[in-house]
Amino acid sequence: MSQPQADNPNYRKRAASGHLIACAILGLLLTGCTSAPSVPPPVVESGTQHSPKDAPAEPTDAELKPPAAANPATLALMDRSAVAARDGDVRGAMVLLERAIRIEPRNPAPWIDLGHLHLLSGALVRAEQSARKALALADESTASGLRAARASWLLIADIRDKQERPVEAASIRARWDRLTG
Amino acid sequence: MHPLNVHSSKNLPMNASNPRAQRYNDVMRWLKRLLLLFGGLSLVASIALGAYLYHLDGVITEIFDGRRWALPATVFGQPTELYAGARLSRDELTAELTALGYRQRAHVRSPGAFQQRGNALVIHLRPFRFMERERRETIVEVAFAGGAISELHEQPGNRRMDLVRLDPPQIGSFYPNQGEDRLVLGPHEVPRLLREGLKAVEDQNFDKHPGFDIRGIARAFWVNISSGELRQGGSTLTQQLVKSYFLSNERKLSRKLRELAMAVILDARYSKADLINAYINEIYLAQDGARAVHGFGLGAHYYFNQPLAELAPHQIALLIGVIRGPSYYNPRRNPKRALERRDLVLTLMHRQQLINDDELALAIEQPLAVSSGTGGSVYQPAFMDLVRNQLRDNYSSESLTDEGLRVFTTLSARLQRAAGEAIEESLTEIETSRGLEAGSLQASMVIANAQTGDLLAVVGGRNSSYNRALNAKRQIGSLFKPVVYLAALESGRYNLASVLRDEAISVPAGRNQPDWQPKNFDGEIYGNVPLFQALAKSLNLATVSLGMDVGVERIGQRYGELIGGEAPPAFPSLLLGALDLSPLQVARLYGNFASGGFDAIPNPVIAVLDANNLTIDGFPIALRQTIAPNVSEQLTAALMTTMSHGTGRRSPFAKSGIAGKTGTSDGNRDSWFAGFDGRHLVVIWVGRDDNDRTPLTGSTGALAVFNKLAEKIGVEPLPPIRGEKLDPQTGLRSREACGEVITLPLPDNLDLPYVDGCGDSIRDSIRAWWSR
Repeated sequence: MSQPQADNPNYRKRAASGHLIACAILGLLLTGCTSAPSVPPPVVESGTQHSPKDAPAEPTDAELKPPAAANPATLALMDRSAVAARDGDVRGAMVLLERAIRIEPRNPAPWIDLGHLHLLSGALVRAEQSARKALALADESTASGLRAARASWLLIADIRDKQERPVEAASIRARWDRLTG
Repeated sequence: MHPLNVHSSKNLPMNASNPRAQRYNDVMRWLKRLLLLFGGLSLVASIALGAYLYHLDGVITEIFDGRRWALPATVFGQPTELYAGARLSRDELTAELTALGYRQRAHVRSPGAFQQRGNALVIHLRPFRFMERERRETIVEVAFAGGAISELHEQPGNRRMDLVRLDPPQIGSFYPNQGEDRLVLGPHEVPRLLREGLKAVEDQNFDKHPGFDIRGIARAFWVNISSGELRQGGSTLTQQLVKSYFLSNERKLSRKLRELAMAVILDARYSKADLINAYINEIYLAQDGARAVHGFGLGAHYYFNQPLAELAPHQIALLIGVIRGPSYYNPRRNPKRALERRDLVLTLMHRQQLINDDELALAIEQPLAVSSGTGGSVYQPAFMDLVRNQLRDNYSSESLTDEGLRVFTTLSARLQRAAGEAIEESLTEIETSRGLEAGSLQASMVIANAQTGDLLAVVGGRNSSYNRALNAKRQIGSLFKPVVYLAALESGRYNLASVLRDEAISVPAGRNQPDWQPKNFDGEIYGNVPLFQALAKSLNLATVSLGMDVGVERIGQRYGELIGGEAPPAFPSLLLGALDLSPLQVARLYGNFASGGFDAIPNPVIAVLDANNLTIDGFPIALRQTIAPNVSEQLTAALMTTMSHGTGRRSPFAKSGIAGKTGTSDGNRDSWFAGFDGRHLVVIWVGRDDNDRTPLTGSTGALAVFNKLAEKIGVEPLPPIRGEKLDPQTGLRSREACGEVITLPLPDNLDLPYVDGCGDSIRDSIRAWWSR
């Protein structure tokens, strides 16, 4: 495995910015959003059928409340992971997120944070796969699922930037930024 | 001696005439010669002895220093996580703690103990170095409500905790080829009673003698003479240590002298503290199959499933007693003899004032209390095969056997136990109810985390060391069918309600070969069937017809993509699973379906850490999306229908929100089940080692094992399916008011009529009538 070393100063810098991203996402996940989404692009170009995932029902304001019950263990581990990432220990931060994933594997939130850490360490394929996993798990008929889907797509947009595919990144953001109003 | 000198003395004139003086001179001359000869020989012998001792010194110090640092890698399973909401009842947690060697006490005073307080458990957790942090010993109070953990508090102080882990189970170690396994302990980890007790029993003058003990030998000699049997050995602990390094029971004087010399050298070179600690880590205590249990650290786990530091005086006395003859005093095979020996050791400890009167009385009252099995539930050979496979490429065998590596893996000890029990219990039931020879059936099982692909449990067989989960490749039969249906759904030309033709089919098999004419399992022909029913009922004719339309090559290619490997040869028989796979390979294939469309390499190792707890290698969760979410959702729904209305319908868990597929190979030689719920993917094979026929299908063999497993570990339902309500028989639209319905995701705007008389309008009824 090629993980960056914790004592690399560049790596710390990146880790700190990653924490901001992770915190921003965590904030979004916890605070909820207020406007309706647009239709996201399909994840894999195969098959022509249309599932409910591709066409989320537009949630009402009442549905877009913060999630009532989140697993405190998962949240605690995500918090600890964010602290570790801020301190430059991306490997430790990943271990904590994987622990959260093993506790609650169907919760998209730690998968999204894990994707951000992979992005930070330059593992773009892994980052995108984590985002896609979160998307597959996000139930877009619920408010929290919709927020997770949005966070996943914005992560994919960041990955597209790194891949120097700015048009795709902008197109994803244009679709999903509307959610925040 | 120079001949000239002799000659010159001979010619002395004063002695020449005296014969007595002459004789005297002769004698003296010879004496001198002898002395010179002896002196010369002594010098040569001393040089030779010196060289030999120098050689021995080199040998023994190299062994001693080498052995002091040769630490087999230890392998750990996943720790059980405790947090509010975790589905773990008080009884289940008690069982987990017991399996880890925790003892129930009236009050918790030291690590490794727990107590019941009302409906809560108070656990004194042992310290443990986890992957990312070290946990000090911690007291945690766990409250329960409704079969789950409701709250966690650290004591004293009653501080609320979000989560805490039990220590992970040790599931194996990489001992060297000669079979020596050990858990090396530092001096601070050894109880004083063990150190002093060893001296009291084996070598009372240890602190004073220079490596051998004349008084000890004399005493042993006297005891043996007076009792008329061999009761005591005269070897010091140092001599025993040397002896155990060479693993020889040869009774030769030369060997004894060699041992003695080495003992003296060791004693001169190293401190007594070093020597006794080496002894404690070295001495042979038991044979467990191919594995030789060395040292008290592993001995404590092997006999009591507890760390050495937690042992009570009677347990320490038993271990000391066993040294004299690990087979003769084996407490599992010869409990009476072992008990007598233990009590003798306790008496000697008492005589040396290592324990007081009360402690002696209490210890003598204790039963032997050795754990059942070998070392509790640790040591999982089938899983360890996979760990070895994963590490083989990056680690030399020396690094694994010598460097004290710590390997963290994904194994769940709870699931591993449940899997083994489920196989044993259900196969025994099947053999009894069907009048089969006891032990004639074999089975293997793989359990994985459905979302991450982590391997959680691997059972290689029943009372057998052959790892069928890894090595036995068997025809998978109908387990292949979901790949055919996946390719069909992905083609865009089919949906779950599409009508397939189940009718006799004849496929050309090439020049000079008779056409391939598959049959349904029951020999019937079903005519028009909805696609989901064809999969649920595992209809061969409808599947072949569908597969031929989609293209065998495309299906083979899709299979290769799912497992990250090569496509198999595109023979039409592939459509009905003419493909030999091991249960692990099936787990990889079905991992794609269980995870919502992701392939994961089933790596058992999470991380390898060195002896200083620095991560050498990490194997993060690595996924690869292989199926679009909307297609994956349809396939999962179809596999759930297979359980609720198809070949899995007889399972008591058929309608509990699980998805799965049964498989039976030609002649009922292989009975398969692969299924998943919200948490676990399970693959089970049942059959015979000689590949003979069995009376079992997938649903009466492997699915029965799954049912037993689900009884033990419970089921976490998959998220409910959303979609259209259909009549399960015809696959037409229906309503609850018209009878049983199943819900399946269908393409938007699909023109599918209502079942007869169930439409919401005359138009639907007319359409339904026309579509018949």
